[in-house]
Amino acid sequence: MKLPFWSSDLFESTEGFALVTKDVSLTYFELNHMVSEYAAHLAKFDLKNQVAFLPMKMNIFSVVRYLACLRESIVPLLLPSDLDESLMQNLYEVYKPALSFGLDGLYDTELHSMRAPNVALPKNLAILLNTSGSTGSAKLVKLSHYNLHQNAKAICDYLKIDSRDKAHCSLPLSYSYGLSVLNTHLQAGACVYLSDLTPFSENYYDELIGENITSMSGVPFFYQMLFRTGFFEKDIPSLKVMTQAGGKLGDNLVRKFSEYAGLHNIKFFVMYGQTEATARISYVPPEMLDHKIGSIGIPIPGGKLRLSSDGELIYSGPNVMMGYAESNADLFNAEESQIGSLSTGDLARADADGYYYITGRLKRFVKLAGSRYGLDEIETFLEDEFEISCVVAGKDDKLMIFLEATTLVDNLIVTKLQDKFLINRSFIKVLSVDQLVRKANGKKDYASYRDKYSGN
Amino acid sequence: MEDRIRAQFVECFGISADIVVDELEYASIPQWDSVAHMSLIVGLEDEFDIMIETDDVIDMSSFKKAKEIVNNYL
Repeated sequence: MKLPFWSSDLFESTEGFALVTKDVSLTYFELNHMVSEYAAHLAKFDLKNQVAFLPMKMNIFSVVRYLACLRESIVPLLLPSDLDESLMQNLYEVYKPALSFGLDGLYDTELHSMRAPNVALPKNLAILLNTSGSTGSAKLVKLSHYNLHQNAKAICDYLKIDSRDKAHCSLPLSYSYGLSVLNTHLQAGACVYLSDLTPFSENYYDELIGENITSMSGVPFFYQMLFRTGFFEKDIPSLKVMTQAGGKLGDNLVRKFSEYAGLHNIKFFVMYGQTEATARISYVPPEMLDHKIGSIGIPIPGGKLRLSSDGELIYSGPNVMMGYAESNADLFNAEESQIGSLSTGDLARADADGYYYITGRLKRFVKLAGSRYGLDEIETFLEDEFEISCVVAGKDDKLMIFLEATTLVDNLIVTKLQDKFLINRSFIKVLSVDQLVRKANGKKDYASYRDKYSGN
Repeated sequence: MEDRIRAQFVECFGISADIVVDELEYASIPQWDSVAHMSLIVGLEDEFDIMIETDDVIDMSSFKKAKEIVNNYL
């Protein structure tokens, strides 16, 4: 476990399959060969410590490119493959990447002559992730090689991933949780099955059974889908581990899945994390789950949790990001690397056994079906697009839009958000008000909206 | 009945009624993703006051199938 999951030496000493899709199976030997060849190809462009835009699809090519970037010290911004074009354009203008990877095959790449003038990024900067993927947020999380390696090792440790495991991954690889499934299984010499299917797909359960899947991972919405498609009447003999993160799963469903897991000899992990901590922050040990329903658990190995004087959850550990970037210049700040301590923006309490419970949220974002959406970005977009005043607030799986005195049709707003940010309309509620709540200085009073509509 | 089902498709996916034809399939348009599928199921249950069973949740993979399935509950 000393070598990081992208290293050629680690691949060379690992047997068995690394990546499988419905079309292709690659052993560690074969994948290593592809990555080495691709890294040699990239090396010709002389892109060390420069930014590249990398859309991540659920395929082998995306993984080969990602690993080749890590080996060549090219810094990829991992993007959803279905990102709206104008949002992509906006990111281009802010970060001026030296290279962008296209979606038409492995060698579809475009070198940009307009690359950022500053030469080299800090050497320890490994990858960039959006704080909010679907809105193409220009606010990025900077993660180091150390962050990636340390978080992968800690997760392997508590999930006890070993080389016989085969994970079913249907979470986007541009999303820190999905990426962590990939990273950890490579770190452990295990196998990852990349799939586009959801529980609503006809062949979903056949795929799990036919491929002898040992673990599956998902956000709360994924578990709701499993519930609705009769998961509890099914038996997947090879399944050993289920993990859940990306927001709070309702207590009732936690109980139901915990009970099913107990009957089928499966370990069910309820977990908590943030992109700012590479992926994972805490987990509930499965044997404690029935006693700790609603908890985010205890810190992962190597990490620490505490509460600030005003009740905010503070995490520290080797997986805490190098910092944020909101402009190209921010990518060059080396001095703040390894800040070590992260204010999560979540309010929490701890019980006598040291288990933490989230009680509210300070930061202006909501999670819709597990994806994070920045409320300010949506608000600014709507105000610009429709020339209105509005407040965007809400809680998980509910986006509330308060419009001030306008004749605008609700449906127009909902459809626009759906087209632009791929937000499902069932999550959106538009309310007209005479006046938005403002503070004495005229600024919008977000706290009043937060107190009314956020929380769990 | 067909019109009431079509109305749910229009409402849940935010698409125009003229593309809701028999051949319209799950995941064939970006609007019919897994989240929209869930809200479609709930929408149809409310509209017709039925409880759609787990197998049918997966089988409802086209507009044509949706009509057949809902019909079985009425």
